[in-house]
Amino acid sequence: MPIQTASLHAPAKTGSRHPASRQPVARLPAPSLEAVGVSKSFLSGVVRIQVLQRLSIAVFPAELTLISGPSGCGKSTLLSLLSGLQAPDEGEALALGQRLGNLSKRAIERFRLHHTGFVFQGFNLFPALTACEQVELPLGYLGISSREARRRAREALDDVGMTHRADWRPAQLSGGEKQRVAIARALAKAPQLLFADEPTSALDATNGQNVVDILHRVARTRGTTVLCVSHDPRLVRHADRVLTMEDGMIRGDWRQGEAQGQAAGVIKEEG
Amino acid sequence: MIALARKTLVYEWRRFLPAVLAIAFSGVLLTVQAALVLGIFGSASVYVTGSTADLWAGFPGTQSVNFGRAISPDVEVRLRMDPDVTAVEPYVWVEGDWRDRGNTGGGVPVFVSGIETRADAMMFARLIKPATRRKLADPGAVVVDRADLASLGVDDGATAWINGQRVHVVATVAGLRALGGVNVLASIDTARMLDAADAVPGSATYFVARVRDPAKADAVRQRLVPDAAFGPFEVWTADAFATLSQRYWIFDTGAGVAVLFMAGIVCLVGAVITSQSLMAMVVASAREYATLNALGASLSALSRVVVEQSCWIGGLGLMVGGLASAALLSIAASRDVPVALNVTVAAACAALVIVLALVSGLIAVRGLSRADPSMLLR
Repeated sequence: MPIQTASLHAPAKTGSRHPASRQPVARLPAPSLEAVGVSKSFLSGVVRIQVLQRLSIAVFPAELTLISGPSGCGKSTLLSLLSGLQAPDEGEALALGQRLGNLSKRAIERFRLHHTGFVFQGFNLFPALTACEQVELPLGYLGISSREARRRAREALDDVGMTHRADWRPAQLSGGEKQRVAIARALAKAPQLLFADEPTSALDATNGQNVVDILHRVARTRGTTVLCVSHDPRLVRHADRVLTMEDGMIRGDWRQGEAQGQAAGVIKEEG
Repeated sequence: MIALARKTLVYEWRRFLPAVLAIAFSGVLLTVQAALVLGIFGSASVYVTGSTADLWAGFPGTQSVNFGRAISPDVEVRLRMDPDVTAVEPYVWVEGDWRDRGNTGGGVPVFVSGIETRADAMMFARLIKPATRRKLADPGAVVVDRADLASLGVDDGATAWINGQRVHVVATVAGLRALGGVNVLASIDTARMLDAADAVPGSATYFVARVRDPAKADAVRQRLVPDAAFGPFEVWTADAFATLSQRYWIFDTGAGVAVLFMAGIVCLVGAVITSQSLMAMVVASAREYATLNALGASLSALSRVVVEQSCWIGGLGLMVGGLASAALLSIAASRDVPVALNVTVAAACAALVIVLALVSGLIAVRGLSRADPSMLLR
């Protein structure tokens, strides 16, 4: 039996995906990210582990959507499928209306270059580069001139309150500051999609709050689709929408100002 | 565009140092080895390169200067018949057994070069001064390399025996060392006196000639076709004969193969160490590279960063190796170690070092396979 914590309706193909009976849903714009019946399994030694099972989900722009759940529930795998870092075994992932499965490896890299930003739990900053250079680096791959890249990098650092550390290297920065630089790096190219994997896990309360505020602000002011994977309870309070996952399935879908289980965009199909 | 490769290299230079040193050492080994080969085997042609003659006439099919056989004095006439030949002189090669004055310590094989003693003579004109050459006119007078005095068991001015004939050392020079024996300079008369074999009067091992325009030496050589009327002979330009002699020693004796084998091992070891150091750097930065890839930097763009780093390492290694090689070779030369290097060989060594760095870079690019962005998601 399907677990009725999410609305059950047909995915993208049906045109109207939000039944009239669900009023708050009707106001939502078209989803910017969709998973349609995706499955993913991994081989661990000789055992094949099914991480996601025919899961469908829609994520909307201008929201901070949080996927939360215990370790190993498949939330990071779902993020990697929706961001095109991995391909599903079956089903398909759509981002900004594009079927990622139809794109070549190079085309997916180009898609990521132009449309997506990433923030990871580890900050993954190059030790040799200053904060400003870290942010400029990906802009270079977009073919943006050095001067313009520098301007945008300063702006992005300003957005995350790191202007005063622009010329510092990672070794001189605190964990919270490094994460803010990493966010600035993801934001500088003004992506429509921002993916964050456990962005606050390595941070203390104040810095974690800072990062949450920045992600929330980006979604609200820029209309960016922010999809965040975390089990950090601080994030739950600030997310516009929280999807809870367990055993590779969506168990709950909650939206700010709505009762649990009434939000739209989640489809669970049982095999 | 942020110069990621260069900035990382500068900031983390300690981690790149082993790769730079591996390249530098490979460069030094290749260069010094090449210089030794050229120095040692170059001495096979010191008779040609130390002289100012443009043409050499000798026994047909001679593979190296030291294998000369007597040719008829008529060959001198044939050379002089050519209008472009301005001077001809004989060169007599005699192999002998050197014994020091007290006849102690056994014999030393020597190669006696009998040369003209006129001030304007061509043989060894680049190695001995006219004053030294004049001293050879004295019967029994010989000149040896100063570095050979110890092995000959004599001092400057001492007397000794060659093939049972008494000789005395009137001077020493530098740059006269030989392969497989000791070079001894003497006058043509002294050399003929020392020759144990009964040579035809007036014959010589070679007749060397000067031509009016050295640039036309080859054209003159082509006119000097073998002619049975003058006995068997063959004419080479000085350059061709020097190369012929060196080639014989390098390739026909197996020494060259050994050297190439060593060079191959040097390159292999250099490539392994350099690529491993680079690979370690790539793997250490795998998460950062993976993040860049997640943000859209293509794998080929990231590969270019690694290859650029290997180019910088190659360039730096080349500089360090070049300076070290120059220092080592100048020390070696000052101590009479036979070393020689020409521009072509030095450039070939440099090119090999750069190729080595590039290949190492390409091998290290494989390390980027670990920079899979999905590994960043936990």
